[in-house]
Amino acid sequence: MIILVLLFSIVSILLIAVWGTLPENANQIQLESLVIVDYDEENNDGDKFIDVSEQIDEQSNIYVIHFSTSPSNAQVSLSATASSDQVVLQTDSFSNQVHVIYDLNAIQEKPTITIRITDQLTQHYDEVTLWFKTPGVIIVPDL
Amino acid sequence: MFQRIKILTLLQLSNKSRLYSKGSTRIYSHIAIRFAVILALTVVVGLILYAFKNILYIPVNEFLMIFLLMLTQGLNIVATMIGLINDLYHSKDNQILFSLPAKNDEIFISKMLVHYIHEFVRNLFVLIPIFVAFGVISGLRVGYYFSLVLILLVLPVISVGIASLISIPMMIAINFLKRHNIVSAIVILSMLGALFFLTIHLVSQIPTPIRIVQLYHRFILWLTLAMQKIAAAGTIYTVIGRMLFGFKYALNLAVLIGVIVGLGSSTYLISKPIYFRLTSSSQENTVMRKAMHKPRESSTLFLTFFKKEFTIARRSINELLSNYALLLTLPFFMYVLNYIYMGMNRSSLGNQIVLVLNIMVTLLIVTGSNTASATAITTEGYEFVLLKTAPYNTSRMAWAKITFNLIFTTLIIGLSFFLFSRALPVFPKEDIGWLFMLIILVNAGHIFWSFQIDLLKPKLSDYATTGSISHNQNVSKSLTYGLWLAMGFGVLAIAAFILMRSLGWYLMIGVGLGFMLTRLYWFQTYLKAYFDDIEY
Repeated sequence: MIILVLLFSIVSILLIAVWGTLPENANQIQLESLVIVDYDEENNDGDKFIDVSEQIDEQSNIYVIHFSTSPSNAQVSLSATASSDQVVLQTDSFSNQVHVIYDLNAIQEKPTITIRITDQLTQHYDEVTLWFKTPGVIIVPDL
Repeated sequence: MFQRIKILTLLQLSNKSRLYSKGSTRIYSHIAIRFAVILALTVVVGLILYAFKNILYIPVNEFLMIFLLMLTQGLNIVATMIGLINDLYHSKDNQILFSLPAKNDEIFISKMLVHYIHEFVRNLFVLIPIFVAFGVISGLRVGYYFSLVLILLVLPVISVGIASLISIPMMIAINFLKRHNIVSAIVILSMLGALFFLTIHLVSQIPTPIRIVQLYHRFILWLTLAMQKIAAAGTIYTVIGRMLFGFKYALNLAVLIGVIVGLGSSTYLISKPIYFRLTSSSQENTVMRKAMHKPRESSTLFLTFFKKEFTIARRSINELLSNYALLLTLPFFMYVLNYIYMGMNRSSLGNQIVLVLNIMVTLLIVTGSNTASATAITTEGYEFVLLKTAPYNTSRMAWAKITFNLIFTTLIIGLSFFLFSRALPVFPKEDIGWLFMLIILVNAGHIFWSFQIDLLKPKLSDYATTGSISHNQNVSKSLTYGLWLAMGFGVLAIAAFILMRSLGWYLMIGVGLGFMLTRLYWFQTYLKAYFDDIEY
């Protein structure tokens, strides 16, 4: 009986979503900028870097990238891509966060990975590179 | 000593599972079938993991595997703990085993070995499909599969060890709650209350306005992060997982050996002595304080039966609550569903649909909880014969039972609506009031109807023989009628709220009242006509 009630509950939510909601507003506000706000350093070319060596280990395998969008009520369709398949990305468009999930191999190999966050509607994007910085390394700009 | 432990273990295993004689060829077909099942399960799990990765976008990595290991072993620990409580403390084979020429230690070890073997077999069907499928998908090396074999041997030791230690306080708590019914009810109700407030807290995290697709994405994100974070937290299963995937192998192996030695010693030094103490002081042998109050005579026959219902309820509160378990979920369903309904940008048609769906869901739950009425006479069993010999109008018993069920269900429904109106003030108060009235009327009508089903065809002898109401046809009939009632009132509500609008609630209440009075009339008529003819 409880399963029947659960199934009926799910169907009821879908019913209201399909027949009982107001149409979406046709005048959607477009995104003007998308910026990754939280990073450690930036080279002369404007590339952003975050050192994750303090945050990522076998006890904690998720790094959260924070970004901001403006205007805040803009209609967006966000997607995040990585330069390597050693991590999996999950985008939270409510909280403007991208969760970068490392596996055990990646934690051992300490790869340098560039993450790009793109708005599919306007093609605005920003990038950041996550790396395990070794002491004494200096970022050299591309020539 | 080892020979005696082996005999004791085989003796207990033969009671619980099928054993083959030495040299029997049937054992090969048994193994072949089990192997085929494991293989089929591995393919299914492989497909599920593929769906996780490519459809739900949940990362299928080592941390997910560690989470699955924790989940399966957690469930195994609970299952083993229940088995151990029954086997160590409640089992009737204790008397036989203690009379055998074997030492107490050997009996204890043999009981642990029986559970180790069960746990090992269970793991074969659960862990092999999960971990082999993951190994194949991820292209892991041969060493991984060797580690898997070692882990399959070690995991049951941990589960049985933890379960045997947890079973001690659990057993003490169960014994205490068995003796104190009121405390037991307070604990259950407090847990339900805490669960309700936790539900409110969790549901309030859903951002509004709710869009179903975004809600789904957020749920998947929450699920993914929760699984990954739980897996990364340092438990013994995280250590085992890291070892399995070759991460700091030596260090993790040393931790694992330390834990096994610690668990083994604790089980032997703590569980064993307490096991003998708890086994030797069973419930039946415990001297209990006798009731001091003198029973008082009731002024009417109805009150006598009515008081009896309260006495039965007080003495078996757990049974009473399990009869109405579905009804106790009513506030949870009402709150969660209406939070989601209210969170959506509804049109005026949407508001009408919300009312219709509330009527249907609430009636589904309420009418699904009247199984106690559909077995009210049946559960009297053999006692009913004695009751009928009394020189009174014993049909009053039926009214006493009906009154009790009406009062109890109305109280729970009232409490659910009160909690709902407090927790979700955005829902129109007027509609809550009307809905409550309608539900009470239909519930009363359905109680009369369910009781009538049992009155016409009670299964007294079945219940007296088996002591169980599972597969009872009266229960099925009551549930089916309840389902049709929910659907029927749903259809009526569509007409009332979408086509008639301003008169909607009046029509619903009118039909509800009519239904209740009709069922009352028929119940009274059948009671007068058939109660005296009920036979064992």
